[in-house]
Amino acid sequence: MVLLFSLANTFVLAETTPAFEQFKMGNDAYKTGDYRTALEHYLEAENTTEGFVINYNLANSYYKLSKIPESILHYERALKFEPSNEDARYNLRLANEKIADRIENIPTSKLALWWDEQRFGIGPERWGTAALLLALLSGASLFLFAMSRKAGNRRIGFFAALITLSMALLTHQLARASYDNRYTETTAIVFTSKIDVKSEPRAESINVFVLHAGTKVSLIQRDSEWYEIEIGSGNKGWLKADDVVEI
Amino acid sequence: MLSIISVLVLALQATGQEVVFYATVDKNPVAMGDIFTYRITLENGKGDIESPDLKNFDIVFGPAQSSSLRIINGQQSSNLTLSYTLRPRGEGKYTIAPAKASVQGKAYTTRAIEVEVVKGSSSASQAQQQNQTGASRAQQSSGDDGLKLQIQSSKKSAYIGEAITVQYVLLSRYTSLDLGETEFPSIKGFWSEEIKIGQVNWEPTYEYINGVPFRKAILRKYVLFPQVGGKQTIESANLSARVNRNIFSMGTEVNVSSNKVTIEVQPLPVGAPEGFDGAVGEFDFSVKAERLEVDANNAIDLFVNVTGKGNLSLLDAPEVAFPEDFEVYDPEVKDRISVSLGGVSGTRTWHYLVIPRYPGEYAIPAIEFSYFDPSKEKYITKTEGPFTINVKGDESLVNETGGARAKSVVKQTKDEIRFIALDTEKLTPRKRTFYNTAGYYILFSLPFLAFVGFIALRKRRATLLADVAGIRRKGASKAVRRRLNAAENAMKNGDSKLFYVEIFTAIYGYLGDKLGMPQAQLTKTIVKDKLKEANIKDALVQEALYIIETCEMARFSPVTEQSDKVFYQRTVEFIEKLDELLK
Repeated sequence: MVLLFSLANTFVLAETTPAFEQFKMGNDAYKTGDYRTALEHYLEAENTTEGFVINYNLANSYYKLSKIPESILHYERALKFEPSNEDARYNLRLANEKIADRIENIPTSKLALWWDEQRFGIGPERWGTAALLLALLSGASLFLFAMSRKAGNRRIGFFAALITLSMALLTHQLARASYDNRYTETTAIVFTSKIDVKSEPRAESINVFVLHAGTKVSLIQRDSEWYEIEIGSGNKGWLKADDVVEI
Repeated sequence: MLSIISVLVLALQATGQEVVFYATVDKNPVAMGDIFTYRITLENGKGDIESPDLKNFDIVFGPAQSSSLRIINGQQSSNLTLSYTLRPRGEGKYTIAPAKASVQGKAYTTRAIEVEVVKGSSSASQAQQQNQTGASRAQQSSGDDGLKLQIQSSKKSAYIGEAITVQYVLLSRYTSLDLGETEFPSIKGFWSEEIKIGQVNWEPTYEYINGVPFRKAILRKYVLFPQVGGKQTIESANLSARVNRNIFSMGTEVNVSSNKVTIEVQPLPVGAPEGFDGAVGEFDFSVKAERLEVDANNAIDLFVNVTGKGNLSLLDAPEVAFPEDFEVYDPEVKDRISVSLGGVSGTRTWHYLVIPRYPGEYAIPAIEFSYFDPSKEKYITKTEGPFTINVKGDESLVNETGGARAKSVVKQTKDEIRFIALDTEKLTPRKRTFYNTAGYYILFSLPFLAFVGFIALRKRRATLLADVAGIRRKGASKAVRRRLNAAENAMKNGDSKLFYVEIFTAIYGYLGDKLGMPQAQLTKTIVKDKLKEANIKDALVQEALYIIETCEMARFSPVTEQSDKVFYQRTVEFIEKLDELLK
């Protein structure tokens, strides 16, 4: 019962909530080309909502207002919810063309994209639900195995329990992966127009390379106010945590 | 010394000629001890000439007055000159103040002349004299005062793309001069257009440098368009010439280098309009389309003209957005451009040939041309159009004639982001996910915990059930021990009959309990079968049957063949053995 209730809650947002109204007003403003107003409404809606559409629309508004780093940040966030969304990927590519740094990105294959969509797109809620159902099924199969007096039924129960248990563990792992992808911060976007990336978490240390606003970096570890980061080309260095915004 | 000389020229009145009043010296600088001539000339006028104060110089001779009158093609020109021969009194720089003249009530002044007097060595003039008197050896000197090469530019600072005129000027005081090698380094940082001047000729007027008149010839002229910002230098030119050549002398070879010219090139100001493509100058823009109504597959000519002054030859065609369905050929560029000291001017025309393939009404959007006007210091955009082109014809016919044309491919013309997502259904509230909460993990493990609990429960019940038989079996040992004790007592009392009865009851009760059967149903055959069923060895089965039979017999007749004690022992051993096997 609890499960069903939480599922129902995930997918339906009552049409009367203020977030919904704000989102609609944002859409209307965007249609008329008033991107500044659209952005304000979207930001209002973002306080209480998440997911693909709100981040995608926010990113579009930022792009139109030439705030490219913000735009890239929200495209990346949107893609966490729908990794293979064609429009968001296209727009992100355009936005990335406008930033100063050109870091070679490995093109993503169709298969990898499909796998990302399965893992991250379906989301922790649904994968978790599947895991719970499979665990329930596995328990039922165990009961069949233990209760039945017929040898045939006992065998069916045993194997069914084994299979459903392994599937439950697998879906639980997928839910975990999806959850980590969405809610743990492993990447960030540079927001300062120019940063000297340091060799050590110390302001006086040597500058190893320079990054500009809008570049995506991977976060390796944090040391008080410093992040160790890695960029697409494999270079590593340290920068101040307030120079980046976590995706 | 101040002298006022009144000059009366009674000759014909010079009409239509401008009054010119100037002063010259024939040497500057002057060596200490040398003499030089200072002349004041008044052309085309009559009046009083007031000589300046010449107190820094000794007047060797003068003032001498000469006048001339010329009539060329009916044009009169008169010339009145006062000349002083002077010798400097000391080294240094001395200024000869301006001379004044008054012609018909109008005042004229010459410019002041600064004469530099250098340390006295008259060898140069002696050498010159020697040359003039016929010394046959050629002398070389560089930086000769009598010959100068100058680069003169019209501007010292310009915008990128703004025209600058530059002249290489030769100035000479020698009467005879043969030009030798000239070297003009290439001009870097500029797009240059040379103005053709043909043969080099002396100009009719003199150029005065510090009051010394020089003859002037322009060797080369360029119109330059700066291409890069910053300080740009035009490197100096070099020239060698042979001077004072005559039938007696080879003359002297003189090498001169020109000055360098540095031009401050300013980048164009920010805020260029979108279509700006580097045009700098003053331009007019026009677009002429011939035949705005054509049949399909007939060509349309479109002429895009830019007329004016500026970097015309550097211009690229303004962008024309023809409809996608038109076949467009690269434009043909036609120039009517002339290069002069005023800059580059003329017309550049782009001639487009386009062929509409399908009938219909098409629009060519407005064509824009933007340029920077350096004199107004702002960008100007001129617009022509839009144009509407009406293409007539029958669709089916067109397809036949233009059949080779493939289906048009949808082309993306501009990169712009895709539209926002409108699907409000997908807006999800921000909330804590059920996944990864304690509730989730509890729900996940609940079926397994339930199963484990169930199994544990069942196991306990099974042991409880199993214990019912166990109790009876345990009871069996106790019961038989009780009976055996009773039999032992009977044996000690010598009551043989009771002894056997007790043994009999003990063995039957024991077997009944062990084999789980009521005593009433026990017969010898059943006992035999049951024991065999329980995998008891034949020897023990036989022993059991023997004990039962002996007891049955002893009821009726006293047993004589063995003592009660031995039998009792056999029975106890048997029960112990069986007890081990039937647990």
